[in-house]
Amino acid sequence: MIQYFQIKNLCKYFGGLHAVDNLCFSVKKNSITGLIGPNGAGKTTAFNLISHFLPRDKGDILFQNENLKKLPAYILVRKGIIRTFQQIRLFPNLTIRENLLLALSKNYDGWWTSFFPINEAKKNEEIEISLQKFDLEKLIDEKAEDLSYGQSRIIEILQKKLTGADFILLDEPASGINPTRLLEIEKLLLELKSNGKTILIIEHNMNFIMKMCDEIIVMENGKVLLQDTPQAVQKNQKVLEAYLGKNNK
Amino acid sequence: MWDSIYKLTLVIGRLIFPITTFILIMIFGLEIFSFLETKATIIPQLLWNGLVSGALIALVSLGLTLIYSIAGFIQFAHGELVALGAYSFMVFHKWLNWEILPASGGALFFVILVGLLLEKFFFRPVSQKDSMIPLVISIGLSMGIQSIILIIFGANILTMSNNFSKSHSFFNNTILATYPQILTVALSIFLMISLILFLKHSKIGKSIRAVSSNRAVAETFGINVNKSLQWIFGIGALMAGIAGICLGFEQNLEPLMGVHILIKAFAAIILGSIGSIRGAIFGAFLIGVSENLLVGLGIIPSGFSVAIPFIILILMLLIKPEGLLGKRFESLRQ
Amino acid sequence: MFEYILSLLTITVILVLLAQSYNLSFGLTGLLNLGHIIFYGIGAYTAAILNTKFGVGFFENLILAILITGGFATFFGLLCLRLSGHYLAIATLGAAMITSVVANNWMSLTNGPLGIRGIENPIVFGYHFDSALSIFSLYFIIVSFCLFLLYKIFHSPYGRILRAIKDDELAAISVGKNVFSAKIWSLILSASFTGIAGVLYAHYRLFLDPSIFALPEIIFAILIVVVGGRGNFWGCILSVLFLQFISEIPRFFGFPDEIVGATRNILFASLLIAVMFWKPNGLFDKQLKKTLEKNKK
Repeated sequence: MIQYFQIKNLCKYFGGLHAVDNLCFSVKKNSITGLIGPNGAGKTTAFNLISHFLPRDKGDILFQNENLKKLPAYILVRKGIIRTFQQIRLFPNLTIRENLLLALSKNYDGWWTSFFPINEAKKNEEIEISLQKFDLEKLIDEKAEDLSYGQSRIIEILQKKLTGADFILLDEPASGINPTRLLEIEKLLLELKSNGKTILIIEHNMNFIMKMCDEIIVMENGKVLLQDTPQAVQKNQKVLEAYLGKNNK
Repeated sequence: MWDSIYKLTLVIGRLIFPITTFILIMIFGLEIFSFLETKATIIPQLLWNGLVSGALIALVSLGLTLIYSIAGFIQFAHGELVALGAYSFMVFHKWLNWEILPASGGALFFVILVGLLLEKFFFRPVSQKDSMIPLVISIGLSMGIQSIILIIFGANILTMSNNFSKSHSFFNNTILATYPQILTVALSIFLMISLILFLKHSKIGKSIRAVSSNRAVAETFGINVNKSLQWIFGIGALMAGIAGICLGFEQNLEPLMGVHILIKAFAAIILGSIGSIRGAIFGAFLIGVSENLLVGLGIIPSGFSVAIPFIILILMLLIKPEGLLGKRFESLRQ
Repeated sequence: MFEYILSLLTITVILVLLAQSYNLSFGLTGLLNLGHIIFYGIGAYTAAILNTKFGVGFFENLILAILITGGFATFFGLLCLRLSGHYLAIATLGAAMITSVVANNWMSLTNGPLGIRGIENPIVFGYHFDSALSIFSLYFIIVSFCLFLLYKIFHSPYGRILRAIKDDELAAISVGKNVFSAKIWSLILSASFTGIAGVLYAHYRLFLDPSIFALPEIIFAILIVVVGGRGNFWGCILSVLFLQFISEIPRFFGFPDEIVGATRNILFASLLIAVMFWKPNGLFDKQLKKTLEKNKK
């Protein structure tokens, strides 16, 4: 059976360190999948490889029946795979409106379009609607650097959503967020899922992961330890060992 | 039968480029060798000149690369410290008639003072900001100091030559060298070795290396970042001052002398990958020697000599953008 | 006196175009390109050589200069834009040095340090622009048109991408922007407009020598953009006017001729440092107005 998204035998070595070592897993369409594991398990490296921010040493990445060769990272976004980073990476000196407009104008942004009249009213409307759901529409003309951490996290996910990407990779979206904001993020993710998007999340917040995910992949030392439903992962002895160490039962 | 022919074509296909390259190298090599034979008499002299100018460039580029690795920007006013060294030495030595040793002591004291003052008043206040800001400030400082020199000393070319800088012949007249040149090379090598030892073994050197690899972490471990910045600017100024005094014996004094050597030093530090000490030394000697050889052998007209470091640099950027001794950088900076 | 003011205005108009096009690559995109002056020089030399040797007219020169500087910028960009930040600064400075050396030494083409004399004033549709007023009006129209195009670029979605790249390159890639191509195009566009400025300069001064590539010129261009605020369209124009005014001051105090240049450089250097120290976003910052309004509330 051909999966929606699949990686096969993915490898990345930093010198002698096997950061990602023969990694294989697949993600089902229209699901939320969690990627967990102890620090240094290679989760973020795996993200970097999937989004082509790092060149891989070996392996295949298959997305919607297409084998992704070594491409520039921005092409991946146009194909529909988008990612966030551990730190928030909005454009600090641009306003929220501009940050979101950047995501909306997809391929039609060569310099030659500058000389034609631009009609961004419709795009602005779309942005305002999506901001209203989170009570952020008052901040639309503020610079991104003036926002609080939680607000910028939501704006960042909204920005990724507006690019129209199909498969969204989130790197620790819930870390350092207060509980009320966390509820909003959960709402946003569920909305994305109901719109037919597929989401892969790296997260250390177990409550969040167990609540949100349909399936969980556990990584250790660059390999997949286990891929199963949240309930099964919670009970699994091997996962506990990976997190707490073998002697600490 | 066909199988073996197929294999043969594969082997030939794999070998064809190495073979042609080898043949080309042989042809050109013979050509170059016969060309060099006709010029053999002047080659030792050119190599010596290259060594001297490499030593001078190395002194400047070491300061630059150290400042880059600690403070995170390229100090465009560093060349002006060289010019200040040369001019102040001339003032002490020729105008005030001091002996060479006290005069150079005075000049070095002055240059180090200027270097420290620049650090304290211009670079430290902006050290936490966008690295573009100190860079642009240093460009402004460079132009300002240059103009001040121009106003005080005029655009006239001044010389420092005296009995001490007469040339003597060595090795059966194959090499002409002056005492300042010999002193330059010796001092430069001595300073390089002591700098490397200083960074490796002394307490301040260790803290400097810590700051250069991660400023924030070094700060949390209680290392005084400002102190290591001061040390770096002081050491850089010292080396630039020595380079200035030596350069004053080599050539005429003119307000743009600092910029000219600074530009060669830029090329040197990028050649050897920025921030690396071995790389800076290597790049400096490479540029000094190749410049003298290319011009001296008549391969490149002397008018173009200023461009040689950058022609080398651009060739290198085409082949190996991360510097000759550099590590391959990844596209990701998180 | 009228003639003097007109000549000053003409030079100012050319400088506005030069500075605004530099603002596109240095200010808006944040490319630390210290070799930008070579495009100005190449534009000017294109006009001078084609005009004196082949009798090519003003408008043809404009078009040819756009093509030639654009071509150089493509080459330059492919070579240097793989580098970032400080590497880029040094490589571009080096390129400026090389061009300057070529202009000084390729006697048959550029006549070396002696310079090229006898460039004609612009002739458009048979009309000779040889009075100071007519040249100024022609240049004013051309520069206004170029500024209009630049304004469009600055405030278009493409301009937004350039500002995003200046803020955070990696984030721009992660929302699917082709950063490399956007940067190269910004360099090419900015070089072409600078080439136009160069042509205007050559056809106005009627004499051209390699001092057009000199280091103080580069620093002056940086100063204009920094004082006006990097990426600030109107600030850049204001800053040219302001700096032209300042640079005429030493002349009025009757300094001797040898020192005028040096004092002006010191003035500019201290201004550059002061602006970078206290107002890194430029003297004519839009944000300034906003914060003042906020404080009032």
